[in-house]
Amino acid sequence: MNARTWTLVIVLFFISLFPIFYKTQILGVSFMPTVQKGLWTIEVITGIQPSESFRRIHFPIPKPSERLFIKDSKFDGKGMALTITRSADGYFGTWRGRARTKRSAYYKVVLGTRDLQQSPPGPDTTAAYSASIRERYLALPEFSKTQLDALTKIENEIVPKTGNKTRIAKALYYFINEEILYNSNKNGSKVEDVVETLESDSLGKSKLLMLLCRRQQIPARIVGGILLRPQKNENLKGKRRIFYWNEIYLNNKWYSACPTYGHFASLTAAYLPLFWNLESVKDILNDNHAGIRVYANKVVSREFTINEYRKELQESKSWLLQFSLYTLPMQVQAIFKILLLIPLGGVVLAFFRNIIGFRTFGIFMPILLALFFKESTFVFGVSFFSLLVALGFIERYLLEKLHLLAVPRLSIILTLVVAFLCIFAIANQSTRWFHNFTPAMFPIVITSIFIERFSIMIVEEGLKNTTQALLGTLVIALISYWLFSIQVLQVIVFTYPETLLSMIAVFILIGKYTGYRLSEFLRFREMLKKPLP
Amino acid sequence: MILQRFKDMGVLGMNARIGKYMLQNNHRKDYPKVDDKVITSDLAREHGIPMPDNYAVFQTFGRLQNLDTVLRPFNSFVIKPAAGSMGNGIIVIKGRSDDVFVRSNNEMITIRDLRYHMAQILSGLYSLSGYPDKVIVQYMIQLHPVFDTIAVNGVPDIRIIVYRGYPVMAMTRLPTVESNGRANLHQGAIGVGIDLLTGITRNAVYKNKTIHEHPDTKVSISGIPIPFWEQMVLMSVKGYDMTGLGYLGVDIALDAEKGPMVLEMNARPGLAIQIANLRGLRKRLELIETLPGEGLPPEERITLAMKTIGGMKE
Repeated sequence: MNARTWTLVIVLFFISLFPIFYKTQILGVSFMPTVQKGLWTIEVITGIQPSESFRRIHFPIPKPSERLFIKDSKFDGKGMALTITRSADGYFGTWRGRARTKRSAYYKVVLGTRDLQQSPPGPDTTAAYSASIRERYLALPEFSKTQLDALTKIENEIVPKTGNKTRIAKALYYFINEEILYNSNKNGSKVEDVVETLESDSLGKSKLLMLLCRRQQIPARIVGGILLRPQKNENLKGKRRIFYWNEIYLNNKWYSACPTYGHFASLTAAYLPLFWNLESVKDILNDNHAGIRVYANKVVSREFTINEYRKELQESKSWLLQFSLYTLPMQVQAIFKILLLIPLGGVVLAFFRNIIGFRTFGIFMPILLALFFKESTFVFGVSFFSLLVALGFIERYLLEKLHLLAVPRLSIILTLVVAFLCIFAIANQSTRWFHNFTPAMFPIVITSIFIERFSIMIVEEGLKNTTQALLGTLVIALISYWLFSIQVLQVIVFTYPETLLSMIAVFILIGKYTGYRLSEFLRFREMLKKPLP
Repeated sequence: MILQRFKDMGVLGMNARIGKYMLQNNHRKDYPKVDDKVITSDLAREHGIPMPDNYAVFQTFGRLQNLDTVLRPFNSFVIKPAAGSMGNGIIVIKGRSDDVFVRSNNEMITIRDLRYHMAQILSGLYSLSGYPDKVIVQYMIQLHPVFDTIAVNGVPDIRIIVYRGYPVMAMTRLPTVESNGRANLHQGAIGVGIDLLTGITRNAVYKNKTIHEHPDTKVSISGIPIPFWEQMVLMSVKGYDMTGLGYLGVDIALDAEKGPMVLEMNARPGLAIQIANLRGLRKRLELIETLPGEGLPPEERITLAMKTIGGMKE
C-alpha cells in the first residue's frame, strides 16, 4: 500500500474518531445512552362491572418523588376518560364514563426507585399540632372495652414513662417489629386479635403502630403500596398484594417506618408507595364496584436511556451535537438503526470473502439474510432460508421440464415465495409461532434471483461447490446476525454515524490486501508436494 | 512456514491477482473485447488470429423460430453464449438425424430442447452479468489425433497466460467422463502443465491432486509435445495487441484440419494453472515487469520472455 492510501485511511479514521473524542471529552456529553437497570412496569388494572349509570372510578397511581422516577406511562380506559388528581394522600386516577359491558381499564407506568435514607429524627417535644394534622393524623376511632384493654396492656409495658415523642415512637416501632410475628395470611384488621395472638399481616402491624402512636399524641399514618421484589410464584404474572407500612410525624417531618421488615427512617428501593393515610383513602377506593389489581414486573430488556440522551443533546449549545440522528422522529430512528448495521455486515462480508476466502451466493446475499434474521426471528430466518434452497431444487427439477422462458419461470418462483409468505403469515396469526412477523423488509425479488442462481449452480458447478457457497453464505449471515444483535454496537453506530468513515477506512484496508486468502493454503496445498529446488 | 513456502514458490493468490495484476493492467473499456465472443471473433479476424467460424449469431427470440432452417446445412456445431464464462451453457452437437441431435457425450437432444436452451442463453442465464445475451452457433473443433487417448468426450483447450504481451505460463485442460466433455477444472477436467519453452506436457492435476495418467483411459499424460506450439504462443501473444489487456488468458483449441484456433480470451484467468505446473505465477510476472513495456513486435517479445523464463530457477 502506498503512502497516499495510508494517508487517506488515517485521515478517515481521524475524521470519524475525533468528533467522538471532542463531544465526550471537550463538550462533556455522555459517551452514549446508558443501559437502564432496575426498572419496573407497574400496571394498575381496574375491573369495571357493567352499569347503566355515569360513574367515577378511582385508583391509585405511583407518585413521582425524590426516590421514585417515572420513565413512561400510558393508559387505556376502554372508552372511559381519565383524570388525575394530586392530593396529600397520593396521586389518583379516575375513570369517568358509562360502562355498559364488563371491561378492564389499565394505567401502566415504567418506573425506577431508589433507597430512602433519612437522617434519624432528634428528640421531639412538640406539644401542639395544627388543626389539619390533628384531624387527619391524630384522630382515633371508638374503641371497645376489649380493644382498650389490649392497647393499654401494651402501653403499660412498652411506653417509656419519661421521654420525648421520638423515643416513644421508636419503642412502639421496635415492639411491633420484633414481638408481633409477620404472617401475610393472618388478617390483622382487629387490633385485639393481633395483641392476643402476636401475629399479623402487614396491615395489622401498621394499623397497630398507627393507633399506638396516635394514642401518644404522635401523628402517624398508614402507607399502602407494593413491594417490588421478584415473585416466587410465576403463575401470578406479577400480580401484587397491597403491602402496608407507616409514616410517623416527628419534628415536623414524616419518617418512614416499616414494622414488618424493620426499617426506621429508611426504606429499600423495593418499597413503592401508592397512597398515604389509608383511612382517608379507604372511602375513595372502596366506594365502587371496581376490583383494582396491581401488577409489577421487572423490565427485562436492556433498554437504553435514549430519551434522556436526546434531551442532553438538545440542551447542548453545540451545533455538532444537535446534528444527530437522535433529533429524528422515533420511527425514522428505528429505520436508521437498521440501515447503519448494513456497513457493519459489509465489514464481516469483506473479511470473510477476501481474507478467509469464503464463497457466497451473490455479493450481498449474506447481509440481506442477516438483516432478515434480525427482522423476523432467527429460527424463522433459518427455516425460510432452507425453504429457499428447497424451492431451488423444485425449480431445477420440476420447472425445468416445462421449458419456460427465463423471466416467466423466475416469476413463478417469485410468486411461490410470496404465496408462501401469505400462507405462513395466516398460519402464524393463529398459532403465534413468531412475534412481530413482518415480511416487508425481506427483498423477495432478490430471493428469487438467489433461487435461480442456486439452481443453476447445482447443475454447472456441482453439489459440492454449491454447498460450499451455501454454507459460506449462511456462516457469514449468522456472524453478521450475531453482530447485529449486540445492542451496544448498534447504539454506538447510531450515536456516532461518523464511524461510517472508519468503516470506509477498514474497507480500503481490506481492499488493498493482496496477501493470500486463508482458503488458498488449502487450494494450493498440492503445490507443496513439489520438491524444494 | 507454509506461508514462506508459498512465497518462495511465488504462488499468486486471488487478492493479488485482482489487486496487483488485473486492476492495474486491464482497463474496464477493454473487457467487452473478450467478454463478448462475437466482438472477440470480429477483432480476431482483423488481427489475423484464427478463430472457429461463427455459423450464426442469434440476438432475438424471434429468430429462434426458424432455427431448423439455420441449422439445416450443419451436421456438427457448438452452441455457446457470447458472454458466457467457464464453459457454462455450451452444447456441442456432433451429429444429427433430422430433428434429433447427438451431443458430444452421446445424449440425444431435440430441436425443441435446443431452442429452449438457446432462449435461456438469450435471457442471460449464462452471461457473466446476467444481462440478455447473444447465442453463437459455431464450427465444432475436430479432435486432433494427438489428444485421441487423453481427451474423453470433448476437445481439450490450451490456456496461455500473457502478461503485458509476454507469454508467462501454459497448461492444457483435458475433458474427462466426469467433466462431461467440458474442459473446466471445477467440473472435473484434468489440468496439465505445459513447459512454456518446449510445449511438452508435464505435471497433471485432477480434482486438486497430482496424477500421472488419464483417469478414464489410463494413458500417461506427461511428456507429450503439443503440436504447433510456437504458433499457439504467437497467437496468444497477439491477443495482447488485439485487446490491450495486460493480464490475459488465451484459450486455444487444436483442430485436426485447421490447426490451432483461439476459442476465447479471458480477462480474469484463473489461478489453477499454477497447480497444473507446480509453479507460482508471481515470480514470472515480476520478472516480466523488468522487460520493455511497449514497442516490441510479438516475435521479439516471445524470444525475450523465453530467455527470461528459461533462465529462472523455479
